[in-house]
Amino acid sequence: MSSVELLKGKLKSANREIWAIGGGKGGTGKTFLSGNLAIALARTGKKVILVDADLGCANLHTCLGLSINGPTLSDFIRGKVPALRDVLSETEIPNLSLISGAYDFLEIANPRYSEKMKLIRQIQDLDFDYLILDLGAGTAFNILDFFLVSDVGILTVLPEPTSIENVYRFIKSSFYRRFKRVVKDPAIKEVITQAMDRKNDLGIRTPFDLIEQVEKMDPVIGGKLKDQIYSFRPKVIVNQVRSKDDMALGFSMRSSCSKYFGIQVEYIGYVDYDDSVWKATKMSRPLMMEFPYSPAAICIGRIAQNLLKKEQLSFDFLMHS
Amino acid sequence: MKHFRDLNYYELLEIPQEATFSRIEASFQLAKRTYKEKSMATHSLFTEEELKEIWTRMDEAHRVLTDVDRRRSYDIFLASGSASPDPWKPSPISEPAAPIHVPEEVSGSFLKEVREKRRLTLQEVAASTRVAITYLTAIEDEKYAHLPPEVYVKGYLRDYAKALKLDAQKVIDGFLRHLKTPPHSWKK
Repeated sequence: MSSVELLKGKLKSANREIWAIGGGKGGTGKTFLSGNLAIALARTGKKVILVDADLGCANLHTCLGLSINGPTLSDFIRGKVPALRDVLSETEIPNLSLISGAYDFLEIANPRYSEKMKLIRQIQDLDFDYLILDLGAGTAFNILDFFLVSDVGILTVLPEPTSIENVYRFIKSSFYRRFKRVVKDPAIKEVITQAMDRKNDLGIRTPFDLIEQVEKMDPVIGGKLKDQIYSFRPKVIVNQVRSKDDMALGFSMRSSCSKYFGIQVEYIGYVDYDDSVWKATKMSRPLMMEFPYSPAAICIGRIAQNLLKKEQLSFDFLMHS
Repeated sequence: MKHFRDLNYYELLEIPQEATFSRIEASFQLAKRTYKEKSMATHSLFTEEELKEIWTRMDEAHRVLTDVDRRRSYDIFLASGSASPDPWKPSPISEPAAPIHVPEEVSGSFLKEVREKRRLTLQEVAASTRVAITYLTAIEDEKYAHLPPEVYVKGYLRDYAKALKLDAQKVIDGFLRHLKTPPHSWKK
């Protein structure tokens, strides 16, 4: 059993959840949303831990307006601090603590496999209802692995083609990584590797093409890959929404993903474009604390509720807005 | 997991089979925004041809599901458990349909000939066009007494021509020209 399965098994029985927030591109609001969603959750009385997993580029502490004096995540990863719980910092918000990545040395961005597994293992020993992983930009294996160990994978996207393209790349990379974990046959592994390259010689363009190809090689593995697709349900948040068109983007992405990837993306909410956000950011203060009644803060509160209730934006929303 | 080509009309429009009329309309508006107007959401995923293909099918799905009679037949068709998601799609044998020249005057026997060339039975044409077999037969056999007023017949001819992959306007004009030429005359 891999450490990922071990962790997931334990978490399911403990009735608590890990949420990972990623999205490919930098500047789409991953850290902003991680911090503020954590605050919204903590305010409902849940015990929340925020983990700054943006290794090498951590700044969640700044977003929350904390100065970090004690040990950080890198001290744990490099073995200076034996237990992960020893790097927890309390925050001014009741029920919310932070594992900061502040002042990390740069090479921490590429932890060794054993270091990463140690981190993933010890996460389960922490005491929380919700643990939120703030992931870095990009689609490096480290980031994908954190995304895939989570119970809820959340992608942030801006209404811009570049951001959308990166989210799709992230989705594709993460389920190809999932595929590779269930496949042992080196020949099939090789096909998956090749399929990740858009200009591959096998003529594989979409996940449908890939699964068709694998089914020809081994119908059982083909079926397993299909199961992977069914169980992969990333959630999308559209950030910096300025118009109804921007808002509808989440629905269009949901539709496009089901037609192209065959996966069910859930559109859990959007955040209005709002000057309060940069005001709060400039002050190094969390939006939810500083401007709790701002449009963006209200949107984040709604998203937190959707996540807690395991709901997504309903279509009626688009019809009546 | 199905390719978009294998989705039935409900799956295609991402709606439950009991969807209300307004839900179908809303879903169609989103489809239009996404695939016809090429929303940013399609960026980097689909080719131009795929977008066109998805949109064409969604448009057809919308037309069928918002027409009471066609939706009823479609539901019956789905319940019959056919492997194809699309009853109005010509069978693969007849594809690709070679273009057939429509003459100046279109007789009933010409239409019958084309239908047989396309390997379609009258039942199949009736199922896909929703035109009653008696009318199709009356057109083919040129039994004008059995046909309703001209305006209706034009509609039937249009659907019939489309099913046969013929230029609909040429068929209508040609057929009317044919039956107005002596010894025929339109029976009101």
